[in-house]
Amino acid sequence: MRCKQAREFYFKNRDGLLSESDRMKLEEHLSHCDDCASFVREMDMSLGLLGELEEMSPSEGFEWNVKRRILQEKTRMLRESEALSHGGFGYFAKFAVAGIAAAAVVLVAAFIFVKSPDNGIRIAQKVERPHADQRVQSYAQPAYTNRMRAAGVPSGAQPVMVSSEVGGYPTTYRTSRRSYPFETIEMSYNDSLLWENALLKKKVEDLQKQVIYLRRVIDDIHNEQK
Amino acid sequence: MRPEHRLNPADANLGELTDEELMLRVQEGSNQAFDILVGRYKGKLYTYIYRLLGNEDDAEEFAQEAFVKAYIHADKYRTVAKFSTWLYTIATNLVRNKVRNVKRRPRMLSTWSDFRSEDEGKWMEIRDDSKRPDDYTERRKLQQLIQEAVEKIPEKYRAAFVLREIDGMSYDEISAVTGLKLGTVRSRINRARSHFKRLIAPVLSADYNFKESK
Repeated sequence: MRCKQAREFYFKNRDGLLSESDRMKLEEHLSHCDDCASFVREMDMSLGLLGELEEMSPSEGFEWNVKRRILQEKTRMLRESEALSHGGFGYFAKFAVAGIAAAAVVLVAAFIFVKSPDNGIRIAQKVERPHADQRVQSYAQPAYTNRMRAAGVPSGAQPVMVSSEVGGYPTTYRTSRRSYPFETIEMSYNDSLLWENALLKKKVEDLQKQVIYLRRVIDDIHNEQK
Repeated sequence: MRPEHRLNPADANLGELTDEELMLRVQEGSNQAFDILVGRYKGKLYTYIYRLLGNEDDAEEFAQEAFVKAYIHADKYRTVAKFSTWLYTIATNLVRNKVRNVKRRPRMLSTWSDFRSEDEGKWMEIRDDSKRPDDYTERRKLQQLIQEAVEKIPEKYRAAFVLREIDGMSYDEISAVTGLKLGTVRSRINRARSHFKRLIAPVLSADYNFKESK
């Protein structure tokens, strides 16, 4: 047996992995090799010193600190998951959609105006499009009918549903002015229907105007392409 | 009728359960079971990390972090593995990652300077002696010298060596903890043993000086 193999056998023996026959070979080698015997003795002494080491104790606040850090970690994870659900991917997705929409609008506008800048200005001038605030105002102030006046509804009041009955039909409407304090007036069911009808009519008219405007834009684009 | 708040009868004898059974309870949401596990392993884990790093503050920090990770990722634990092996794996990875980061960003003044074995001379060695009182007993002095020798074993071999020679883990367990193949574990332990023998040799001869100067 060579010394190198003897030392391998020694380590195996130390770990309890050496067979009985190999252990006999090792002992036989050690009996006549002083170097290996010295190596084994020194190694035994060295590793034996490790037995002097004792288990140590962490600080008294160790367990408390573990609990505190677990709580912190849980809180952090909760915040992250909330951020993800409210503003995480959805948040970026919204931006992405908005970005794509904006890019599409810019491309269409560029297509129209770059190709024919004069016509582009003409398109903008010849169509009167009500401002968003004005449209809102028009919704808020539907036609004030004689029937409403007779019912005591003040001009400029807005309907707000405050209750409903079985069947989903509102029985009373609370009308309110935009300014505070609200002025409430009880309306009959028929009057409330008239009121709603007037509002819807206004909306339909506005939508019709928008459709006309868009048709004109589309026609102009087609004409330009021709 | 107002319900009484009592301990779950199943939790009454938690202390008698094995680590693996306790982990199952932790997975079911029992904090008491986890407290028992922390109580069982805090000393062992703290000592293990201290043997690797030689710094009490770092040992405390990493031991706590290992327990936090064990709790947070309790659902990933499978009873096919021993809890101790799983916990030591978490701790070993934490220490390894930290050492790796420190090696990437060497500092002039570092409590990690004892990991310099392979980069000897690159880092400034400034030991923190503030927590070492002068009135060490002879035994404490010897323990300190052994600890220093352990710390000087190349970091690559140290974890396997400590797990085998100090914590008495089997080769299979060490392989699981370190993620190394059995053959690699065996060779690393044997190399570490040789390193340790060489490093501790002056202490062995100085041991006689201790006794003589007593």
